[in-house]
Amino acid sequence: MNRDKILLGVILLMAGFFSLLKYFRIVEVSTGQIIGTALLLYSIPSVHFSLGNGDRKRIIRAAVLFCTGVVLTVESYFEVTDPRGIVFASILFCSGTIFFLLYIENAKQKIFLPLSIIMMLLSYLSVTLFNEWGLFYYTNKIGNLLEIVWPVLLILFGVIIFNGRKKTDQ
Amino acid sequence: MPFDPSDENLFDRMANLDNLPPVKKFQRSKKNIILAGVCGGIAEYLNEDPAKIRLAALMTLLLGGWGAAAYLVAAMLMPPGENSPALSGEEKKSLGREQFKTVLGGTMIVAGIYFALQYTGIPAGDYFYIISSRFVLSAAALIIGALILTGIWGAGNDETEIYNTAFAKENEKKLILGVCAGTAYYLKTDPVIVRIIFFMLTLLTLGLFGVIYLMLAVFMPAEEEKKFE
Repeated sequence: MNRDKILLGVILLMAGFFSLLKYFRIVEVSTGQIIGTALLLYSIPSVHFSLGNGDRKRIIRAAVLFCTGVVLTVESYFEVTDPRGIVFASILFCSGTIFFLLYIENAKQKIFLPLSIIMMLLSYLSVTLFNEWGLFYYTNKIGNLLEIVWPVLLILFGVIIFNGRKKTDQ
Repeated sequence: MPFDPSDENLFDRMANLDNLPPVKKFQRSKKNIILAGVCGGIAEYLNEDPAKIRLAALMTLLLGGWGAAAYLVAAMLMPPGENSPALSGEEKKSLGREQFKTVLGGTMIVAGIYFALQYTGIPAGDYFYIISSRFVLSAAALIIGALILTGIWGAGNDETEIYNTAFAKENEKKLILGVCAGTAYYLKTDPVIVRIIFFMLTLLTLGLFGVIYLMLAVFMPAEEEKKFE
């Protein structure tokens, strides 16, 4: 049986169970805690399985889910003063993680290693040095703009993917 | 209309009964299935593209989930379709990819409309009938998890596809410098998806990903140097 699907089944079962307990107010957990924990529990073994058979798409998916899980879990336990700033740093860190995992998966592709180091350094600098330069003033401006137009972007990208459904891959 | 033996058209039609196309049956599809084959069956009956029927079905979620209930009823009432010729491995993969893009694109369109409606203050999809959507989603997660674990829904064997491609720029499908197409080739995915992700990340990181794109364009080997490892 497909190990990834077993994992997905268990995680969905657990997430659904805890969501129902939350709905009936039997346990006091936030939605962020449930989703964050589910993503963490799913992504770690998923990376392990993917590295075993070289499924790069699944590695990337698992890395993104892991980083999202970390952000959601941290947000649900701690008060984050600048939620938009964390998005900027998280994207860079997550990209660094993806490149690093791709390097581990195929060490012959050396370009991934410097890219991952650059990304992680930039993510660190984005919350220290760049923050002092007022970077988040601009990210907040873009964030405000995206808050209005992102449904339109979502529809647009959805239409692009929907229309491109019959194109064959490589 | 009463039977009229002098109706020549009727006799002509009766004589040609054997040449008439087979009567279409309203049944679930056996070939084009994502959940139960209802949308595929409707598409076959109407001679339409299944993707359009699926998009329409997804859209009904915005109307309080009536479409989901109608789908379940139809899945129970519609007879299963007749066995069609088995698809080859490549055809199955191609169909799977098409179905994935249909669901992904359709979900993005519906989610976009949902959030746009929320932004304008029009309530949509908060309740499935009178039941809270939170309860429905929790129950759905539980049921889907149980279906996967019991092997009823999509629990196949481990796929061991070896990706022995090199990371290089792609000339054939390139749009600007071939970085996204090359990345898509390396990951065995659609270049459109990679381009969309790159565009979104460039926007969200104030153009930083544009710099990464340029770096990749400089350091990625050209297609001529692409070798199988």
